[in-house]
Amino acid sequence: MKKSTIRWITAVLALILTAGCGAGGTGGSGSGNADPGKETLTFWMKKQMFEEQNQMIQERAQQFGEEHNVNVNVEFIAYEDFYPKWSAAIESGTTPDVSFFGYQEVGQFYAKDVLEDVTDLVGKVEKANGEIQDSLKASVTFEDKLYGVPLWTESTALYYRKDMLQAAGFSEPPATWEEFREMAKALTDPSKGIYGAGLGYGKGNSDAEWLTRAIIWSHGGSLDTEDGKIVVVNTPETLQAVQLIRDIFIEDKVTPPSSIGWDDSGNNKSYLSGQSAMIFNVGSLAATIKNDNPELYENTGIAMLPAGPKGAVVPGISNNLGIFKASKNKDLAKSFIEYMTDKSWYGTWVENGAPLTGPIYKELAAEAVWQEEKNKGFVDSIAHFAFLGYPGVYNPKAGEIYNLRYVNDVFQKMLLDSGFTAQQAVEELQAKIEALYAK
Amino acid sequence: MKSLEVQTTPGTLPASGRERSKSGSWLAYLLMSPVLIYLLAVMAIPFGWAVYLSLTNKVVGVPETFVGLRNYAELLADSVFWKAVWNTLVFTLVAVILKAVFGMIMALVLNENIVARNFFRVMLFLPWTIPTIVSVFTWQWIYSDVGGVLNALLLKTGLIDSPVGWLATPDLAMFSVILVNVWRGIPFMGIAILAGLQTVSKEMYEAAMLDGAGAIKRFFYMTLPSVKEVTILSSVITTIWTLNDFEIIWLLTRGGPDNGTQVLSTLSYTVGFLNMSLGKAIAISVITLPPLIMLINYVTKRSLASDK
Amino acid sequence: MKNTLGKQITVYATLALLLLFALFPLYWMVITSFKSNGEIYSMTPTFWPKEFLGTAYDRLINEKGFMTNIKNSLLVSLIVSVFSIVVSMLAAYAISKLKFRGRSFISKSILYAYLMPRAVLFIPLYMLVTAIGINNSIYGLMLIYPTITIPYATWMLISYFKSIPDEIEEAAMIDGCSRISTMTKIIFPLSAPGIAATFIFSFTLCWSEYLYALVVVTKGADKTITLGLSDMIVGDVFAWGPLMGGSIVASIPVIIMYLFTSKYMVSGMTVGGVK
Repeated sequence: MKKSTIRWITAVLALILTAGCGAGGTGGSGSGNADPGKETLTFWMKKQMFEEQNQMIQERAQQFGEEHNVNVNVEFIAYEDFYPKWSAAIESGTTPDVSFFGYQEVGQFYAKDVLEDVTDLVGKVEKANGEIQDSLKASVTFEDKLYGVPLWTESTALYYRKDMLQAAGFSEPPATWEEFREMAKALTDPSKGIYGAGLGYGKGNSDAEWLTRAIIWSHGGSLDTEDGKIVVVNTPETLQAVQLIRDIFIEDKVTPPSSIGWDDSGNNKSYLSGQSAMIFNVGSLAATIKNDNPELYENTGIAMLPAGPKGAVVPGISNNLGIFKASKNKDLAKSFIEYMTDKSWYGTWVENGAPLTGPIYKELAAEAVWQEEKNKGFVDSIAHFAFLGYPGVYNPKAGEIYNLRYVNDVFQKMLLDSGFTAQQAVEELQAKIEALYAK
Repeated sequence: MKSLEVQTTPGTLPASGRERSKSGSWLAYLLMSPVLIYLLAVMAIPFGWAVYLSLTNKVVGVPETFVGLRNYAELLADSVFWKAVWNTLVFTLVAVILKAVFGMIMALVLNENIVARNFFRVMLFLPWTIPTIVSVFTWQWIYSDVGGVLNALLLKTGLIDSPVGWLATPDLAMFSVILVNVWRGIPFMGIAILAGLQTVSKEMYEAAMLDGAGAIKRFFYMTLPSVKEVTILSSVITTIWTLNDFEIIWLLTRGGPDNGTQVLSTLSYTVGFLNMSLGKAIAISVITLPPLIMLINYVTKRSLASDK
Repeated sequence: MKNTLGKQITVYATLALLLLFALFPLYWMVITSFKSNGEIYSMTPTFWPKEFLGTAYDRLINEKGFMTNIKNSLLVSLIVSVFSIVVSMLAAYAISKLKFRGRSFISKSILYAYLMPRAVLFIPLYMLVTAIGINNSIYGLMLIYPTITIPYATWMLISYFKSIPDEIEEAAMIDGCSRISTMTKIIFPLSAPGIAATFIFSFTLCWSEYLYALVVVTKGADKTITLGLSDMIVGDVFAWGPLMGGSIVASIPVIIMYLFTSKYMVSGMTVGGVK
């Protein structure tokens, strides 16, 4: 017994030691590529859904390294994972030089004073490549200075099944939210398990947060302030929008039974399996079905979000590159961003992700690819973009309200408890948001 | 342990007991030193850092200022916090009890002389081998109302007439996340108790069998006492794990719907990392320490006192 | 005879139920990994793939990173769990079998170290590995992971050691064995099933750890298996096939480890060890 135990342990140890050497060796040669004499630039990029786009970034960064005689480390990180990584990096002083930031995070980090002012850099980029969409610049501008360089946009659009709409006697997608409600009623058939409105309200659901804002904003309501100070949630306009959503769920019952528990993939699952006739999503779904299910792609219509009494308002998603103040290579970081936004390369990159990733340059939005039937809705939306904080300008508090998922919380409550009226929901939102602005 | 003690006490000579404590001391410290040095070196500072930060208004990227107990006061006045406390209690208690009971059953069954015992041991161990981040997504599919197998089976057998939203109402969602936690946790309890059963000397077992004791009697008088220690301790460890379980709830419900599955660990994550209010997030975790410390004290007192 | 038959039926029926509960989700993972996307997204689920597609597995094998992930995880988990088990065995022996001042306090403190959740500790621990200069490598994980294995292992081992009656050890000491040799020749071998079980669970704790790995390691060459798997979860339309297939493949090394240790979990050698 004793002997065999010892033998066993030595065997394991031997295995580890040799394995350790192996790993040490490869690790060594891996870092051996990095010439210690050269400067190193670290870049944290959001991992894109399309492998081609990730590869292009990797190659482009390598090329930059060769041209400037520096090492470039590109790390691809999933969006969900950025928060713990940023936190740990900021606290321990190991921030990357350049990082991806959604505009909410640009605001959050601007407020923490860890981001570099890149106003000049944006000017340079525009001079070399043409004008960047104004709405995108606005979302990363604080006190007249820009703290991020826009890299791509995403927008939410309406997806609908052409055959189902036709069978119900509709030839066009809904143009207004009222029409959407009426069509959803006509499309729903619970006995077949088919629902008109694939709206979800899972707690973490970001689609729901954006869509709710789209509906409220297009009715003239708000979840923030007009002037950055006085919260204007409790208005007849907001109430009207909230009431509409409540009616769709509770009166009409045209949403799938589990949709209150959906995460971001819930509406996509529902659409792909034919449970929902209409859903709202960013371009990721269109790109996936184009590859995986050409038949469904053919049968899918994509349109801009329906309009409310105040016209169509589309929640914009802007994705940016920013430079950390703690970076030791700021100049290098700036030329790196210039390199990544160079239009000749950038145009191909952004097209590879169409229609999920939309271009920042006005000129590129006119390219043929964006005029295709199924992509047009996405770029047309850019002109109707509104950002968190609407109708006021975006501010870090508005980002916090979004991150805390106040909207989903209150809507879950309203949709689960039939005694909880739309008026009460609006009042609760007003109170919560006021408390946050007061802090 | 009682039954064992009765047998062992007569064998323990007072002289050897005394001698034991003398020669034992330095040897004991020597044996424990690697563990103690490691834990002190790696854990002491982070632990102190965390407790200190819970008394500040620390936000990521901004230097902190000391605010005393303000974070705690704010928490105590927050209804979501109390809801999370209640949910944590329900989640932890129900899950731990279920895991202990089914773990015990699993250990007893696997301890029997069954065919292909080793094969079945591996099979029942499997849920533990799949990283949570992935197994949770499988469960999400199982619970789904479209293409979800749970609803499909229940519909087929006529138990329900329309699909159920397993994650869409607070009570069902709590049930669903507990089920996943239990599914993943049973193997740990089962194998730990099984190992305890195997450590117990077989002769004692056989002696009792010869006495003609019935199966139930044997379980309560022989089996259970002999693995009581390991069952209690693995339950304590499981309690700590369950209490801090974050991934299952976060990936399935994010604490929703309507905060129905909001537990302290998910609340802490939301506050600390989506909002970057580190001080407050840590306060949420620190607040769970006193009851846990009491639990540990109680258990150690019982288990370490048994041979004093 | 009748009694044994009845008992047999109960045992096998219980076993069948446990197996059903444990394996059904895994069965679902396996068949999902072979289904086409069209089949995965259908209104009513199919219990058997209409056509077995190996594309998910092709992708896994051809993607170089995945095998590197497995290797890294294997390395970290093995080193950490062997180290943890060895030091925990010594400490657990002292706590369960020796009397000394501060025993109760020290043993409690080891568990207290376990109470802070990872979500709180990851920042200070990351600062620690950064200060030492082993951030962004598996060495950083090797330093951190014992914080999740040692308190657990020590305490489980205490309970196993304590279940061995003191009289066995005393008998050996009367025969002239020293403390150390009773420990290595009697207590450890007698507890082999417990040690083996603790080892395998320490191993799996490291194997499926996610948050520390996420924060500490960024570079591809040092990523562990959980990071590799989570890399497949991008955006809001998942690649289900590779994700499910990946986790099946990822569990194979754990099963091998389990089989490797499981022979020590069988009783019988207990009796031989005493003599």
